Amino acid sequence: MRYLRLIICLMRYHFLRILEFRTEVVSWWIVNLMWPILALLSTNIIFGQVNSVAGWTKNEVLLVVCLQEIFIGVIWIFAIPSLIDFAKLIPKGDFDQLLLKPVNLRFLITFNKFEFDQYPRIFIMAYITSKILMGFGVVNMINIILGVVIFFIGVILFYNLYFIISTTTFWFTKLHNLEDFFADIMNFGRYPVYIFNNGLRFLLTYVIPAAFMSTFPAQAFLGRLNILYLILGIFVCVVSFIFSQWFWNFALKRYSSASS
Amino acid sequence: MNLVTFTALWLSTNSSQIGTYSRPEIISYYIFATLLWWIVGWHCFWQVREAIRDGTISTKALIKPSSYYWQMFFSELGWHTIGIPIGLLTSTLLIYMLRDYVAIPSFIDNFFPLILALVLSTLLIFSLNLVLALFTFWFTETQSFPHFIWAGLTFLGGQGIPISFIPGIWHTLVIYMPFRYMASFPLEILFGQIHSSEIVGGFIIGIIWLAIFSLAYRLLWREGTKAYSAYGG
Repeated sequence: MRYLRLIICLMRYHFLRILEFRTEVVSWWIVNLMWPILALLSTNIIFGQVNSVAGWTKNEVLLVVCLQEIFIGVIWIFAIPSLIDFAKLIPKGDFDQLLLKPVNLRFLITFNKFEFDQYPRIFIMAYITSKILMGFGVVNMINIILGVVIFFIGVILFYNLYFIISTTTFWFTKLHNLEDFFADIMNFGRYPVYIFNNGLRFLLTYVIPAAFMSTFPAQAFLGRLNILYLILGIFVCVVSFIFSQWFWNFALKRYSSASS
Repeated sequence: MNLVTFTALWLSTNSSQIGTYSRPEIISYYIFATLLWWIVGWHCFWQVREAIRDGTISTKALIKPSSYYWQMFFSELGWHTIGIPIGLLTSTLLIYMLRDYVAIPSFIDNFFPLILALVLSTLLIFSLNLVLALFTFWFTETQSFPHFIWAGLTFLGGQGIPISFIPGIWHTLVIYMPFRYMASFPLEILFGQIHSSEIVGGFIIGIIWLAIFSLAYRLLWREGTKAYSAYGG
């Protein structure tokens, strides 16, 4: 409960902060609606030239695109902004202040910042996703639950990966381009991973969880997901979280402050 | 990443002809689009934005008897002397690795228009970056502004999908927008997708946009420096 109250407190703080920069919020709302709409339009244009992509039809690919955009929205609510901020704390010498706080440090690093400009993207893409799914007519409650579960498995996997790489800031003090790097990584999830050859598909399934971002949730919603991927996802979630925590503790023990 | 994703996308369709491009041509398209970005891509937005926010623009530009536009242009040009060889090396390696799948276009016939188109692209992207950055004189937070350029280039400028795939009236609209001349126009000349009269028409539209951006720069610079107040610097 204490940590939940902290999250609410931090959300309220950041909400009040963004009210000071209303123009910025509006411009980000426009940007965060522009990207998904253009992605959907370009998918329509692609299917003006071809009938299918790696055996996926137009509506199936549109479903993947929508889920990828929702994924980007969700991961940008707090995880990525917080970890981007963390990557800047150590070079600036502000990390020491967090060490003194009486809360779990990883919790503080992860929920340090909240962005409210992704909500229009999430809501509109969720609406379009529901319309596409209704068009298929094969969706039932089990598929929906499965799809949501595997979607959030993708969120956790991506967060763990980003957290592990952000932890290397303790050694490589300037990691300011992580944001661009992960934005490009997320682009791999825009279309079904089956468009890639076996090697790249392996990488995007088992190393960089792009498949869990949108392809597997789409398959789950459509009732076509191999249950082994769900089991694999849960397993990798647990293992990656344990590893990320171990790596975090390993890095903290070797941290030496420049200021205190 | 666009190169990898879109190449894989088109290859997975098993079509030998994709729009006005053959399969080898569409793969070559993305390799050359990547090379093009190394040549004409500019990122002066962040530099100018930070200079305005932290006040250093006072010493860098306001008290100097030179044009800030050209000062930034030649400053950024230095980075391109590194970027262009890297782009050429990367593209050469990619072409070698994918040599069974690509078709290198012959650009001898269109060499001169191609070079002019690259110069036009360079100036357009640089000018738009600079114009957007100058809005920092009024808006403290302008981090979202470059997204309009990136989205425009990806979806309307041919970096994501060739604009010849855009149907009907939308294609006509895209022809008159500036993004085409930042990325797609040189590629269309390179791949022989447009003919002499269209090339001339394209240059006219591109130069009009360059004039618009130049006027916008002058206006924003004049009004921005009037409104500007710095701390420190």
